[in-house]
Amino acid sequence: MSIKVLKAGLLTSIQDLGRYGYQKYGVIVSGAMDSHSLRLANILVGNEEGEGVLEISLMGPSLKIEKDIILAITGGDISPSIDGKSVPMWRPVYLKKGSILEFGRCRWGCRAYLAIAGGFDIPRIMDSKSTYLRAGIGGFCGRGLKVGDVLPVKEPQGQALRYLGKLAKKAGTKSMETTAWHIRSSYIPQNSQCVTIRVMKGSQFKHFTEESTQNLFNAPFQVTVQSDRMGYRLSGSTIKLMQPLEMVSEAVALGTVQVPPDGNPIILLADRQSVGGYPKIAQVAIVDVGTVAQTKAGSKIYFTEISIEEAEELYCTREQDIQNLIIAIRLKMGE
Amino acid sequence: MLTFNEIKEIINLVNQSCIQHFELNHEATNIVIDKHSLPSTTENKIGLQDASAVDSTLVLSGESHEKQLPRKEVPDQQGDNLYKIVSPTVGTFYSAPEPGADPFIKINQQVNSNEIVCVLEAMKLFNEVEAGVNGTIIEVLFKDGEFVEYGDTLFLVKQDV
Amino acid sequence: MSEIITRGTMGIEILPFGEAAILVEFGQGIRPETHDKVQALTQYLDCHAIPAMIEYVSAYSSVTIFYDPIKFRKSLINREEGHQQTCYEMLAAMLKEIVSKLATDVTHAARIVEIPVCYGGDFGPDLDYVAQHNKLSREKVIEIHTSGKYLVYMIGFAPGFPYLGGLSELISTPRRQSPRLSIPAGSVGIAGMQTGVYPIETPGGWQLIGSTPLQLFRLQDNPPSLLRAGDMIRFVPISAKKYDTYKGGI
Repeated sequence: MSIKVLKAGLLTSIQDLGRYGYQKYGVIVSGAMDSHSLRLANILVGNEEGEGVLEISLMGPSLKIEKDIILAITGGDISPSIDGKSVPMWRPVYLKKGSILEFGRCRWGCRAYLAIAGGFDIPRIMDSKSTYLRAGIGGFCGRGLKVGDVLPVKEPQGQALRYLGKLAKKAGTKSMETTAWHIRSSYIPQNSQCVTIRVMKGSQFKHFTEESTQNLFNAPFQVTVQSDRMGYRLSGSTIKLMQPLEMVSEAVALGTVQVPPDGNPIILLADRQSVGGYPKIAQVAIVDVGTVAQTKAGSKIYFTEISIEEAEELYCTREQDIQNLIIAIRLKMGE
Repeated sequence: MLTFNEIKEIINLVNQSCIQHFELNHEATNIVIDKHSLPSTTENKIGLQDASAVDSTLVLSGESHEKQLPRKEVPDQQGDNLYKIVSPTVGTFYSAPEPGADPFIKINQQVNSNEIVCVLEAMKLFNEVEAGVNGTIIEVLFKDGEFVEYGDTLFLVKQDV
Repeated sequence: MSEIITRGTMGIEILPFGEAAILVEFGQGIRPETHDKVQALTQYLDCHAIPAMIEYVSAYSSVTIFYDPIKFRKSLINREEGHQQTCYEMLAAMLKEIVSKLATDVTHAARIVEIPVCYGGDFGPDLDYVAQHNKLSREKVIEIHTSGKYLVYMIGFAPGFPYLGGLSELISTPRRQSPRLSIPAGSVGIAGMQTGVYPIETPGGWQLIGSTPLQLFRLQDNPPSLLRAGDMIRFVPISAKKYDTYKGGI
């Protein structure tokens, strides 16, 4: 069973929750830019949370479905449709074989996650299906999708198979069917292009000037066009050190906000290198990394400070919510 | 009616999760599981597969559970031509698809039977409620964010003849 | 509460790094003695599981441990204690204990890895520039480069890429003004006081003095990186002919 790529879109690649355990060998984590949306997409189709999905950025692909399937689309709203009819997001959707899924305008955010029940039948490289684009490792042939690609999909089993059965039965002869319920991305702000991002103080925070740290929390920054899966380069007030700092390279993390000599902060994201030598002014709370990832060039970002306790609390609460959701969906689909 | 095995499965699932309070209405069966009353050390036992490890308050009853919330009074006007759109679940009532969006329907609006009239949120799932009949909306009995019980009347509809 | 920075003896600091990572700083700067302490901790971590640790990344003078706060809290025997502290505070206390007991003299001997390099010509298009910049002959540059012993401080920047210390000042050369868009895998270069080998093709600004037929990054191997932090490297000059044989044999 497979999916044929009729149009590739701007950057469509297979990602999962990332490649962990190999950073000490210089192998980056990669993975979804908005991992929360990825997990929800998988949960909606009965897959393991961390199964590989398609990450679709800005301009979506055109995909021909070659067998009856269920899929779920979460994250950015890039106007998914079949035959001009809108495909609903944030819920499992049954599609009959022969359907051609297309995308259009970005209505909200910019990265959509497409999970197929069963997941993609591609090898795990160093424990992950994520694509390390720069090194050509993992995912589908180590690269983004191209026209003509045929993506193999595994036969759904267990939960995924049950969900497929339930919706197929409801659909009967209809070519598209969905549930009478959906989940909502309630954690995501209304306006994806003007966001407030919660951060903790970074490792070298105390080395920056008072004016810079004031500006960090009071003035907006703009996402520039030099923003990609490695990191988002921001422009705004210049961030300055009190004096030059002799820094040697040390590890960086997802959401680290580092400041190169030109004073324009960079938020490090999925394809960041494992180490860096620039001073770190802030650390984005894990729960807000996806929000950053859904902004586009030209968006405004406001930073607000929170403590580590608060960040931990937010993280734990969100994890609890996800576990509750898994149960709720299983019960719903088991009815 | 849920079978014994189904009830046991539900208890296991809730037991293994972080869910603190769980309610389920299914046909004539009503289940309430509450972990709040547990002493904290019992949490350490969660993770065991055996349902009997959880000293939860398991209330099984054949009728609606006692909740302190006042039930909505449904005015009986215009005789029996009025169709009641009734809630299929407990949950929170929302009149619009998203916060800030236009409501699904308004008073005096014509609806088709498969049109969505509201969503009810329960356990973070947003359940779409369809009109069920063709007709005109006469009254909306709940406001955004209000808690709804199983069986509550949500809308009154003057059916098309 | 979360501002507490745990300081131990010998200027070791244990700092928070967001809500899911913790940084153990052994000092500042690039020094073999500091690196020994880094190695001592990473060797400990390789053999003893820290609850909820996902992985660690070691650098010149620090080790960063990435963990899962949920798994960490679940692992606590005394849940009550967990309610009053952040994971950072609890992990910092744990690490302070571990670090204080680490042997400061690293017992396990460094591996010595020889890297065969074909210098100059097409293999090293910037060799002449490096020679001129340092007012030396090409042969002298090669002699100095190959007589050095280089410590692998860490692997990062690219898969298998070693950060090497110990380059002689006599051949240190600043980066190119304009970086190359693509540097072939195996290229051996110099940038300021650093020397290293590009394990995969990437853009870069290093001065390229030679090339090695060795694969520093092998996807099919476990671990996939030929070199590890703590290894000692020696560069060994080979002829173009030997380079081809080597390549053919791999």
